[in-house]
Amino acid sequence: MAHIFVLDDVLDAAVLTQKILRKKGHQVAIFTEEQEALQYASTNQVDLAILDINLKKTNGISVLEELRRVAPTIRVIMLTGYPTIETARQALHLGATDYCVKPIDKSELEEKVSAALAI
Amino acid sequence: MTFSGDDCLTADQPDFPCPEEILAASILIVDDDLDMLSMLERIVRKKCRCEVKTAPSGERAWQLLHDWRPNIVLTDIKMPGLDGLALLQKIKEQSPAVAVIMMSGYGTVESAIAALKNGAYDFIQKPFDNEHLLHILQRCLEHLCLLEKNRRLQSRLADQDAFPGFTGASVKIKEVYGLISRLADTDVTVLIRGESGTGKELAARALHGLSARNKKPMVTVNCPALPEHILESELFGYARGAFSGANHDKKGLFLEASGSTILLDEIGDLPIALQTKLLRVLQEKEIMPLGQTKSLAVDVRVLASTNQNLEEKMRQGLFREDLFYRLNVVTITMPPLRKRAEDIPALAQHFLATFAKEYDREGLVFAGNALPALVKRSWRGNVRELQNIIKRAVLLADDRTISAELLAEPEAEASGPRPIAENLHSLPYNLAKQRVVEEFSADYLAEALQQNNGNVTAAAQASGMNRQAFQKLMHRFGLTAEKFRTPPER
Repeated sequence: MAHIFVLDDVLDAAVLTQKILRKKGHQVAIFTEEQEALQYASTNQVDLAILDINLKKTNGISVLEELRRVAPTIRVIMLTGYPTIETARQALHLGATDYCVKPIDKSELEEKVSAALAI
Repeated sequence: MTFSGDDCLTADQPDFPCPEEILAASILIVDDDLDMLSMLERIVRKKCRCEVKTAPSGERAWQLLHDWRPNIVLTDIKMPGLDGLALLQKIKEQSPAVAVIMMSGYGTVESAIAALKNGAYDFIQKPFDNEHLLHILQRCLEHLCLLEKNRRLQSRLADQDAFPGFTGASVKIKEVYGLISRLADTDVTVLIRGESGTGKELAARALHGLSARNKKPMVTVNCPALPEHILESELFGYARGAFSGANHDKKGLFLEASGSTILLDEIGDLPIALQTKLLRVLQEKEIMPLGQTKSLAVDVRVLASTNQNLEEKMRQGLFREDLFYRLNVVTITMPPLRKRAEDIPALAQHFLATFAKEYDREGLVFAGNALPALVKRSWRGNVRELQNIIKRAVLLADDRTISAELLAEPEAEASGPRPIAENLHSLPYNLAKQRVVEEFSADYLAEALQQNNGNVTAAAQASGMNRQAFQKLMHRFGLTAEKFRTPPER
């Protein structure tokens, strides 16, 4: 199954996502700090990243940009509680496969993840 | 409506000319709001040098697209009937290369995501200001231009056979392909160096053939072939009355090559006085014909080739240093055949196919030991020597295979009589003699023609025959002089 990491500044949100995806048999790492997540992506073979947009220091768009450099093949789903057209535009231009809005229900998340992994 | 009117649109000149690669850039604007539509049309017309058409509905746009492919479609999302998203989908299905930019006044994150995920180039939220729109259009045109450039380069690289005239896939020759591809579409002066017979002229032809100048033929000047004073008038031309006998104006080769490429072959042999004049052409991009007082501007790309050590010639004062640096902007060095020995089998097969067709001897193949023998021998004459050896073998092979012996080095051959073909003893004496004489004659004539560059009179003279007799023999052995005239380097 796939290797996934979740980056969200709210630990509970990350844990919840981790639980849902683990049940699907994926290996899921969680982070609340941008740097740790990037470090993990550059040293591990990760298939998919799920990024929140409002983060502690920077934001999900700049993490996505950096991720493109350190792990160019990784697929990315943005998951945010504060969707804007501008961040959606930027994320998709930077190659995110999807842009989802919180709250997201369990089945939609599973569906989006399996669609992203199928690419 | 937040368009700021005309206050930022005072300049009449377009702000950004369309990139050269898509000179005929065209934009289709689609919006059901007619005021918006005409305003957008006005802005785009004023600021972009593009063909602009408009459509007040998705249906009308789709109709227009039936027989017209714009580079960009700028469309509103919310329209009655065929809306922007549906139009986007139809366009992407039919012609994915068209860039679609979506506009929406009721922009929702969902519609933006849907548009971008379905292949829209960008999404603009109304209201927007003119500068923002123009910025996106410009970026989009640049993007299309890069895509187009990339597509052209890819298609050149993908089809290695399309690399005009070259055969081989060794690292050394691939470096040359790469350099040529990158330099072809520029106007940079290129110095092509390499030993004799390595394909310097071929590289020049490829540079010209892959450039935008390829609509006109390349002009080649063989510098050592002409005496100094003739070379000057050949290169730069002269005005009527410049010297006795100049009865009319003569266009020089530089003027002839205007809009095209000129190859100065064997530049190392250019007399020093002409080097000064050439330097002027390279620096000022203009020529001064003999006897003219005014200079003429010329648009010529200059390529130069040499097999000489120009650095040494500079030390001896025979080659101007400033000209050297002017010419030597980029150097392509053609690798000698010994450094690309892995290409020998492919080259040999290529020449075999070419000459077998030319001399009507199709069906010839190399014997099992032939290609390894070719790879092992030394090639002082490089690809040209290989070419000539295969040509000779095609002419002389007496059955369907070309043996290693037939391809042996000429030194070995000169030291003794040519090995008589094996099956000769099975023939009656008269027939065997005839076969040997025929082989000898074809070989002899070919060699004489080769030595004299296909000049029949000179070849006949060198063979101690008159021209008619020589021609008669040529005819009997199916030789034509053209094939020996400055063979294209392969």
